Amino acid sequence: MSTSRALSYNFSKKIKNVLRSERALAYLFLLPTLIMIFAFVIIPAIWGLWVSFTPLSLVGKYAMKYDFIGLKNYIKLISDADFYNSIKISFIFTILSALIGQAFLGLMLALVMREKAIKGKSIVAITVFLAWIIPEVVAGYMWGVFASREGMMNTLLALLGMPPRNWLYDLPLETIIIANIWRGTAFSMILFMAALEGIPHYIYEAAEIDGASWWQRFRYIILPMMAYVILVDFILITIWTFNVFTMIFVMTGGGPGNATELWTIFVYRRAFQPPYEVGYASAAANLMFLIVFLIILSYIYVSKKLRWYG
Amino acid sequence: MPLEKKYIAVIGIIIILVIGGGIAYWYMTAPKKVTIVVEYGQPWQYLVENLTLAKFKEEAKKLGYDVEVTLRMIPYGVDIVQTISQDLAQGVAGDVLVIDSFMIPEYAEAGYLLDLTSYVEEWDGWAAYPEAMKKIVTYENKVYGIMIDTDVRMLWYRKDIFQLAGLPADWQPTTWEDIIEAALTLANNSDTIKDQLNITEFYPIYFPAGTKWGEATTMQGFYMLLLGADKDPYNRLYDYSENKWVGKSKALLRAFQFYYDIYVEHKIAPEEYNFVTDVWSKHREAFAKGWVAIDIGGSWEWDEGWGPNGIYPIPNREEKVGYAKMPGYAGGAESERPFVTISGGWAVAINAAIKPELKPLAWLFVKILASKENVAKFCARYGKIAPRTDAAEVPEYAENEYLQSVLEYLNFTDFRDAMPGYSKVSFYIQQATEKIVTEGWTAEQALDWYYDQLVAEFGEDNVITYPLP
Repeated sequence: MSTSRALSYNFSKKIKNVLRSERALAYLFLLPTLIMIFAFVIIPAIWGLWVSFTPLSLVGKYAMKYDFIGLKNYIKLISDADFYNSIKISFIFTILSALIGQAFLGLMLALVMREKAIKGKSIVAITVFLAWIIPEVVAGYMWGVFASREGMMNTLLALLGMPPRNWLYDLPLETIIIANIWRGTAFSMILFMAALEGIPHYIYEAAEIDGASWWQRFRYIILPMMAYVILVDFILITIWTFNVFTMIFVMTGGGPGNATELWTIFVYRRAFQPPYEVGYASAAANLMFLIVFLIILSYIYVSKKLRWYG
Repeated sequence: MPLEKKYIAVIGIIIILVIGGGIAYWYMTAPKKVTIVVEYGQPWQYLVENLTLAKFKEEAKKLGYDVEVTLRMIPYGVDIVQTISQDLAQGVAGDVLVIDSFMIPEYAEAGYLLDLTSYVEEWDGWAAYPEAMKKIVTYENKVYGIMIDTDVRMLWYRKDIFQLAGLPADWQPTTWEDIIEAALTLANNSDTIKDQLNITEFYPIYFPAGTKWGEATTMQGFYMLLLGADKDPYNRLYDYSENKWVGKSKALLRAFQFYYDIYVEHKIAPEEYNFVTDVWSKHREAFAKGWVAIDIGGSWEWDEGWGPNGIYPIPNREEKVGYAKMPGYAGGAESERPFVTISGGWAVAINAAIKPELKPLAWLFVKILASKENVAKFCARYGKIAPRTDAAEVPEYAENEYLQSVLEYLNFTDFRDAMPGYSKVSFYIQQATEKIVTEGWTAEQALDWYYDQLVAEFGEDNVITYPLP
């Protein structure tokens, strides 16, 4: 074997060894995902950050030529009452529709689903799933029609003697909260149903023998053993609900006024509707990202304290 | 090389040359297959699809093109201005665009539109456009579009409902006070009106407010008040002598006050109609069904809104629907205009990002779309005013009684202060009216807020204030 052939042989052997190692293989498998994340998350995020320091606009002179303007957008933002309003609306919407509405209702439905004595469970389950699988735009239009003055909601309430009203105008925030509970409960229900299946049956039997009531079983068996799953549910639905846009935008467009202007709608309206301020909207998006990120960090901190239950 | 092989080689070369020549000839003479994308809103569907498309294909074929036209129609219920703005910014807009003329300065500044100056100079149709129509599509001495329709605005009212309330069927208010008084009379008779029309809701008057209406709040509602709210030139959003936006003025205050009066003080206007999913559809439906008796809107509504082929046809339209000129604040008693109206209109333009080889075809499409015949027939069918003076030569247009009656509005019409920054100013007007309607803000609060927005956006040096009463 000549020297060059020997070198080449050693090199290819090294490559093969590297490729055979688990770490290299892991990186190889990760590569497509990393490329996708880089292309569709990291680069747009960096661009979004850069744009927030510019006056970029969708139309007009700043559409093509925009220079660095420092913190001007952020300074304008912290004195913008509409921005604070959108944060307030987003928090109320997330707490009431997701953390209280979807999680609580999802847990109750999951508990009902495992009761063998209750009839018609599958109809309830199908109804809940349907709300989840309907496209968001369709769901938005459905609610728009359902809650209008001429809608089905008023027809049903008329049976109780209530006068018709335009729910999306008179009680807009309450109506979108209910719509979001209707739409998102299925996810929490599925998650909790799976978690309930994971609790060994003998624990319930032992509790029954000891004479534990339904509430005691729920309080001392189900709740502690599901705490971690509930937290995961909270993390996921918090992120999703803070990012809800389509259904609510179709229903109200953020109005009347800015009564249902979630932060996502605030960002959209500033960027893609007059006055088309993309840079300003990016600054708002970045600030909201920071807020949601801090909330998720606090969840993770709490989850570490609860881990032993799992 | 043996002789036979030489022959074979020569014959082979000849065959190749003949085939190659044939292919080259076919390539040179066969129609060039190209695709052109046309983007327009549904209100212009008839003009694009019925009047222009076939003629364009025929003309393109004569020029040696096998052209395929991709029609991208923006349906009713979708904001056309926003959709086209977003498409242009994302680089996905059509090659030929039907755009709202007030956006031309901002699109031109962004570099979105093709400069058509050299094209119109060689087009005989350009001479048929009056200066005002040329000015709308011109920005910094360059032409960026061709007007295809224009309009005027007026008060629409239901004659049959007026009569139920004891008001004259032939109504022409001369002051704002006249309008409010008529609306209050209607409000006092609302029970009778509901009973007679068998309706459950009734609002005497409707002026568009808020951001959901977008530009229509500013143009249809606010400008129609502003232009008659004080004498010239204190009745505008922009001061042309100082080159500044007007932050505070008596006219602005009076216009906001009118909104306050009908929505908050007297509660005679339907707040919630401004926030439904499709505000345009709602306003047409409400007027057609008698839920609203006095509406403010464009001249196109006669046919597009309530005509036999309209969106909400009104049976016996001529007997039920009337229109009146919008008066100035005191009918001219304070040196303001006795009557006001405002014109906008839509233009056809070419995307600056169009492929160079498609430019002649796009211009051909524009010329056919904006031709005398097409513009006149389209405007006659939809009750719009033709921007070309020679449209009157087309029988369909000349014989349209309604159009002939509203042409007098052109004598006192005006235009928006459509210059860079206008879409932001317009948005602040929409927001200010929204705050009056939803939060009950007074005219003074709305004016202060509006002034603050202008100062924050343009700087104090670029905002002027006039003395308030």
